[in-house]
Amino acid sequence: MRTALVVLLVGGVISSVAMAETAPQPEEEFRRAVAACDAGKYAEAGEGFRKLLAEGYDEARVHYNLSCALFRAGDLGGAILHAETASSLDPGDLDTRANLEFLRSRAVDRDSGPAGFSNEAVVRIVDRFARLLPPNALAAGVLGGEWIAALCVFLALRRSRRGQSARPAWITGACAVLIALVAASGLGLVAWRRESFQEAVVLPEKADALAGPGSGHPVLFSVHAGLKVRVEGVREGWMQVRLPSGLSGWLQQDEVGKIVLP
Amino acid sequence: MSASGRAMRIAPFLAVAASAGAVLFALPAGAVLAAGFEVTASVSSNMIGPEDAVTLTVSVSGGSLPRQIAVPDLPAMINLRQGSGASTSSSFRWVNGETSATRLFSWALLPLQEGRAEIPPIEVNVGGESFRTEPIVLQVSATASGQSGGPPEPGRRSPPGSGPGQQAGRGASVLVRAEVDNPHPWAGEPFVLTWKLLTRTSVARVAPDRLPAMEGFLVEDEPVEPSETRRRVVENGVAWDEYVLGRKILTAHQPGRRVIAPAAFRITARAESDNWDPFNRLFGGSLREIARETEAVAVDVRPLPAAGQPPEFSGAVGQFTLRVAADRSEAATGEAVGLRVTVEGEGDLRTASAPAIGPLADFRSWEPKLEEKTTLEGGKRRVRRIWSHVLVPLAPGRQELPGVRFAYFDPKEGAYRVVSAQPIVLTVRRGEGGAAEPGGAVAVGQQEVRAMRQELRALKAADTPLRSASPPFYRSRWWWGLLAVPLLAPMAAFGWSALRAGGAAERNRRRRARAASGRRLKAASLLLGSGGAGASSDAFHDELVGAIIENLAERWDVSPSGLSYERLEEGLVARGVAEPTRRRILAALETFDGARFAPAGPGGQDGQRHMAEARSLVEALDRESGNPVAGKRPASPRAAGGRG
Repeated sequence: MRTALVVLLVGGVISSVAMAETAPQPEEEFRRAVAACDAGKYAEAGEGFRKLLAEGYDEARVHYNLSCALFRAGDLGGAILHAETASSLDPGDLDTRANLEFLRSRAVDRDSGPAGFSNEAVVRIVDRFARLLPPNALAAGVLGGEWIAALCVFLALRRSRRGQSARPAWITGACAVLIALVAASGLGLVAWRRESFQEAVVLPEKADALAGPGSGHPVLFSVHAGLKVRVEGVREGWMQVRLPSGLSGWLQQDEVGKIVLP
Repeated sequence: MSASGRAMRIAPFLAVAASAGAVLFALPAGAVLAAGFEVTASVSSNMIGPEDAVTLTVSVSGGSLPRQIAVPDLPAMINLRQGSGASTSSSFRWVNGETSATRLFSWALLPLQEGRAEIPPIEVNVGGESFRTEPIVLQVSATASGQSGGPPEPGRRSPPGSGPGQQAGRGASVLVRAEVDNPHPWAGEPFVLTWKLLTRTSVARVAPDRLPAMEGFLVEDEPVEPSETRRRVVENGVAWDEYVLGRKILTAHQPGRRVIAPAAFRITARAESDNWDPFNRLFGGSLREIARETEAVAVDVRPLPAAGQPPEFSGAVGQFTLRVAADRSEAATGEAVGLRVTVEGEGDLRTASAPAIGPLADFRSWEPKLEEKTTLEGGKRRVRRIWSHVLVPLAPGRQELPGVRFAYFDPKEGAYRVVSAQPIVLTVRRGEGGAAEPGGAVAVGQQEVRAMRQELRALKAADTPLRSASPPFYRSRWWWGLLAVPLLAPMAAFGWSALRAGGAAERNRRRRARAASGRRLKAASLLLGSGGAGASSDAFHDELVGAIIENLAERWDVSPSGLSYERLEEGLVARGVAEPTRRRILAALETFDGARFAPAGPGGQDGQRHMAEARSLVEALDRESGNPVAGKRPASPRAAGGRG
């Protein structure tokens, strides 16, 4: 009995090591998908990147490469969906921004920017700033600014008590407070948008938005691949979306791809 | 008086009466009066020439008219057709407190031939009621030309197929014509449609009334100023002033017969008879608006011949030249080289595709940028197209850009032509990093390379291990904790320092209390240790009482002399000392006070016991006489007097 247990244990260890050696590493799968894309096998490349996403490797460059592969395969809506996801995950990446701009230029419907911010100049400026940096960088800015400001206040009070000049500490502290406030504004906007709205992208070349969740409802307007919309509700396979222009209608759920962020 | 004489005398009265009756009772032709609305139809003249236009006016008047009155439909007319219209006008009058409004609908009508013409009743709907005007009869007669109401008609329409000279004898003095310079163009060959005005009288104004749609043609307008195109022409011995009213360059790309519909113009001209009146010539004479219409023009578009069509035929029709030039003869690998392919000539290049520049294996190339300039002048369409290519050599050495060929159809020769440019030799050296040299580019340089890079960027590489996208840091508790620390730290520091200051004072008081009682107990112990030799009981018990009292006085920060038994009890209660301990303290103090006067010294058993009790009480005080009970701090014993 004891011998049998030992044999089973050793066998399990050996088989698991063997499996670990034979199972492809995610980097290897990634490289294989990149090579397929370079060779013009866009469908195969797309499958490879999708598999990585399904395995949980949902970082920005996987979405970026999947976006490229989908565009090459003629799926503009899917390409814009994954480019938007990559941009949300890593807003500072210049390649992602350039690709997104290029893909948007190919879309029929023009995105007029984030709805609700059209008239507030200050909010628009903060929004533009916030779109340049990832949320973690903004959070670091808030913390760094705050800590430096607190340290500067401490030093300034101490130097004042000793009768020494505290002006440099006060000036540094004020700058740190300013940085913290700007970063906090951007972070607040990013967090508000991220936590309050579910954004999505129209996938098919053309889709009709109906007045209600059902094919019997009249057509209100048509949207085209790549248009970014906000999801307002889901009911029985239908999704209520709102356009940047304020128009609202129902699309079939498979006509819309949600921008999924961690 | 003879009968004839009476008749002579009353004749003027009869004439006046007849005239008055006619004025009083005559209504305009076709007047209908009902329900407060008056609907009438009238024409500008009942006698017109075959080339004259007559204006038909339907008038609706009343005290107040509905806001909307639909334009009446003209019925099928006899020997008349609609030239233009309907135009609408409104007027409103207020006279002696009475208001009246009038709405007028006007049409220009043209006769079809000489003879009787008739306008049937016109149905007009006003405010939900239907009215019908009376029919109007006109006479179209050659003898009536120029006699119709008002000033005489200055001219006549040009009958189809007739020239101006043929009409001169019939009095026509204003004509319009449509002419094409080539009634048999090839498909894709531009031709010119010209609308001309021929006149033998003064023309003040010409305005297009209806222009044809020109379906099936690509149309380009060549701006023409009629006053600058005046020329004198003589046809069949009759002199005319000719003006060009408009010129369009048309191109049909589909072969077949096409008809350009007539164009109608409104012309304001001086009445013909006035031309010979010196007074009218001096003061301008009377002007009259007339309608004129060109004839329909048929164009037979010929298909391009299939025979002899070169494989590189681009679709261009006309006569063209080709130029190909590179902006440099030497370049480095990775450096942008501009190649301009220019096709220029007379004709149409709109459907022409870019001339192929051949397979370029050792070059990277992009879609060319296209510039086009078209000039329309004198009925000629001159065009120049430039395709600007950007080529980036990939390999060093002697590179040859193959010759470019451009094929077009020459409509004058009726044959295809091919023009070609010589190959261009480029010396390519090995570049450093592939960057273009600054300042080297001329017409097309690196800037255009950037502009044309409307492409997806390269894929990302797996240069670092893949991982999952982590949720944003702001959701983490750590972030909130780190955010709170700088805000809470000053408050914590302040509280800590305050707490520390308060604790230190308490500790100091305890330390002093222990020290004071320790000194007194040590002294008492020395007295006890001496075995009573030379030691009085008074001194020994005074030390024991002092050990307790000074301990409490130091703890409570009061003077020992102010601690009476009452104050002691109040203080012990206020500081939460347990009742048994309180009783023990008070009992011990009373015992020690009483034992002072004992005759025996402290060396006995009582002394040992009192010493132990005093030590025990001091330890008990250390344990229990800690924090004062809130609100029960005793009044200062100094103020209350000493222990009695």
